[in-house]
Amino acid sequence: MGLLDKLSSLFRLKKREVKVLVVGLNNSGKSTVLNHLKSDDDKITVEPTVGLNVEKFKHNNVGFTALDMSGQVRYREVWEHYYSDCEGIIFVIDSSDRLRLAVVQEELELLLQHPDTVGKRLPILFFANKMDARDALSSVKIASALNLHRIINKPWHICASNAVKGEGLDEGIEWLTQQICENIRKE
Amino acid sequence: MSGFSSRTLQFQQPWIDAFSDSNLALNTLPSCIALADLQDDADSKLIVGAFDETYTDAKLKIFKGTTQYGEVKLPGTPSAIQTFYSDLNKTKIPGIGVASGPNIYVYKNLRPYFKFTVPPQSEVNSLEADIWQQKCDATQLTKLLEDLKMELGFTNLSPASQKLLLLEPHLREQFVQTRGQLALGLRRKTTITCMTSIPKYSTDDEKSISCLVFATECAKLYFLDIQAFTILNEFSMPGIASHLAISGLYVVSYVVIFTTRNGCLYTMNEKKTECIASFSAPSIGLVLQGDFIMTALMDSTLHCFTIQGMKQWSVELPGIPITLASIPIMSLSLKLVAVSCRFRDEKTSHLFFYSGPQLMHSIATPQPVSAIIFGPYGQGESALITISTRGSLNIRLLKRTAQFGCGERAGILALPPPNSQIKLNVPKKSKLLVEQTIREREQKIEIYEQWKRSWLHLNVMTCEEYLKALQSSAVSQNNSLKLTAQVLGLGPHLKIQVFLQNLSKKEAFTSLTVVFHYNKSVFKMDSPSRQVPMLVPNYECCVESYIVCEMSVSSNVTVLVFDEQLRLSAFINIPACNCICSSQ
Repeated sequence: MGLLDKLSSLFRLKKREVKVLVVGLNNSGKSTVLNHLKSDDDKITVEPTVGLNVEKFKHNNVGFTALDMSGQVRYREVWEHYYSDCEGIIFVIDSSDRLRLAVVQEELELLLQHPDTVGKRLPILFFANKMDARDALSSVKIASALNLHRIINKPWHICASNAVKGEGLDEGIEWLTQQICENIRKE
Repeated sequence: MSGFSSRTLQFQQPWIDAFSDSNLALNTLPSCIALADLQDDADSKLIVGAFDETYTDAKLKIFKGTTQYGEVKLPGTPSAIQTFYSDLNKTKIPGIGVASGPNIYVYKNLRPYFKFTVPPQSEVNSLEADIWQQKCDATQLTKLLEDLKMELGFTNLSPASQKLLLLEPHLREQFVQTRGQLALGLRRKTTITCMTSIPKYSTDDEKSISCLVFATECAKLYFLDIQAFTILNEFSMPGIASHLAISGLYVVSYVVIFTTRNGCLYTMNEKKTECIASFSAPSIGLVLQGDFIMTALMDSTLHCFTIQGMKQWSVELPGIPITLASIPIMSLSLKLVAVSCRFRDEKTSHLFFYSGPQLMHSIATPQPVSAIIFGPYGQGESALITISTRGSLNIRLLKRTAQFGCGERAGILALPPPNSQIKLNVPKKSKLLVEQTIREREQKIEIYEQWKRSWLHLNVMTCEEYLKALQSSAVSQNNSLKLTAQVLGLGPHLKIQVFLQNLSKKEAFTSLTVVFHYNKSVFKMDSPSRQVPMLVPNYECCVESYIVCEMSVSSNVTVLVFDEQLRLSAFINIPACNCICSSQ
C-alpha cells in the first residue's frame, strides 16, 4: 500500500461506490437529469423509461450507481423493492405540473411510510425540475406544498433545476454526496 | 418517523383531490365534455362546451392542468361534443365536433375547420305550403296554421310557421309581410339531439379514423364520414333519441344503442331495430361497457341489459340521478359506473360508484354534479373530472394504491329517512267532481263493463309480457339441474361420462332418462338410453356409457335428459379416430 492510498483512506477520499434511487412521477425528468450527469459519450435521447435503467456517473471521486426508476403508474410499485438497498434517494418533481402535486405528495408519503425507509437516515434530494417552464412553481412553494418540513428524521434538500440545460443539478448532487459521505463516516 | 399520521384516515379514500375551482361558472351538459390529446404531446386536455345561464354566449373551453388553456367562441349552443381522428398524418391531431342546432362545427388546432349541416328534411307538408301561398292576411293565416297545428303537431311545422304562431298578435302582420316577400323556401331544419363516434377500420388503435354518428329531432340516425364530410348511412329511428351509444366497427358490424324521450331502450343494427325495454320513466343517461348497457332513470333506478337484450339486474338508487358515466379502471380490472345523485332535501349530493349492482364507493359532493368524465388528463392516466350544477370544476386523480369495495361502503350513506308523512294534496269538492259522481251513479253498468273490459285487457297484456319475459330471460326453468359431459379414451373405444347434479334445494328428480342420440353409421353403442336413479338435492350422479367408432370421421353425440319433457341437452364433439373398429 502506497503512501498516497494510506493518505486518501485516512482522509476518506478513497473512491467509493454508492447506490442512489431516482424516483418521481412520469414525465418529471428523471432520465433527463441522469442523462446530464453522465459523461458526454454515452448520452441518449430520452424516452419514457420502462421498468428501470441503471446509470453510472462520477462526482467528486464518488462513483454513483443510479437506479432510474420508471414513473409510470404501473411501474411505481417497483420503487419500494429498492428502498432497502440504496444510500440516497433523488426525487424529481415536475414543478410545472401543479395538478399532480397532490400525487407527488401521495407518492412521497408512501415512500416515507415504507418499512424499509422508516428507520433509515436516507438523504432525500428533491429536484424541482423544469424551473424554466412558464408556470413553474418555485422550490419554496413546492417544499411547502409537499410539507417537506415535516420530514424530521431524514436529511433533505430541495433545489430548482433545469435538467435539459443542467442548471441546478451540480448543487444538488454536491449536497447528496456530502450527506452520503457523512452517513458512511458515521458508520 | 415523519409526522404524517394525521392523514392516515384519508388514506382509505381512493381519490386524490387534485384541483377544484368553484368560481369558473362552467355551465355545461353531460354530453358537452370530452378529454383529448389535442396536440399529440401525450398531455391530455379537457374540452368543455360551456354557455351562460340563458343558453347563449357559448364557448369551447380547453383546460390544461389547472389552468384554462384556450377558448373558442361557438356560433350556437352546443348539444354534444365528440372528438375524433380523421386522418392518417403522423402527428395525430384530433378534431372536435360540436353539434349545435342542425350543424356540426369541426375544430382542429382550436381553429374552425369545417361546418357540416344536416340535410333538411323533405319539403314541409303540402297543406302548409298551400296555406302560405294563399296571400291572405295575418289573422287568417294564423287561424289556418292553428288548425294545421292541431292536425300535425307543433313540432312538424316549419320554423316560419312555428315562429308566426309564437309571435305576439300585433307583430304577426309585419312578419307575414316580410316573410311573404322572401322566396318560399319552407323547409324544416332539424336539430341534432345526441352524437357519438364509431371506429371505422380498427378498434386496436385509439387514434384510428372514426365516423361520427348522430341522431336528430326528426328521428333519423346518420353516419357521417369525417374525411369527406359525406353521409354514409341514414336510418329511421322509432323515436327521438335522447342518448346514444355504439359498439362495434363501422366496416364490419355495429350495434347502435339508444334511449328515446319516451323512455324506451332500443338496439339497432343495419338490419333491424329491437326494443329491449320500455321504462316507466325517461332515461337520464346511457353507458356501454363491453356487452353491457347501463342506464339510470328519472325514477331513481339503475338498470343493466346485455347488448342482446337480456336484462341483467336493476337496483334502486339512493337519490335522484342527474348523470352517469363509465369509470373503467384497468389497473384493478374493474369497470365502475359513476352516478351523480341529488337528494330531495337539496342539502347533500353524492357520487355513487357501482360495480354491477353493488355499490362500491361514494363521494359526497358539496354541489350536485351535472357532468362526469373519466380518463387520461394531463400526464395522469385516470382522472375523474366533475362539473357541478353551479359551474365548479373538480379534478380527482386515482390513487395508485386505490382499492374499491373494502370497507368504504360502511358509513357512506347517512340518508335522510324516507318522508313517510307526505301530505296529499286533496282537491276540494269541485263542480266537476260532483258531476262525475252523478254520472257514475247513473251509468254504473256501462262504466263497470268498460272497467271490466280494460281490466281483462290488462290481464291479458300482463300475461303476454310475462310469457315473453320468461322466453327471453336468462334464467331458465331448468337451472336446478346441471349437466356436464366428458369423453375418455383415444378411440375407437370411448367412454362417455355424463354428470348430472341436482342444484335445487327442495326438489328431487325421480324419473330422469339419459338418451344418447348419434349417427348410427359412425358409432355403435350398447345402451343408448339409461335410467337415472333418483336425484336428491346436491347429489351428483354419473352415467357412463361405452361407444365404439366405426368410421374414421369426426361426429357428434347429443345427450338428452328427459322426464316428462326435455330437461337438458348437450352436444359432444368426438374427433376422428385413426384406427377404427370394424363391426363384425
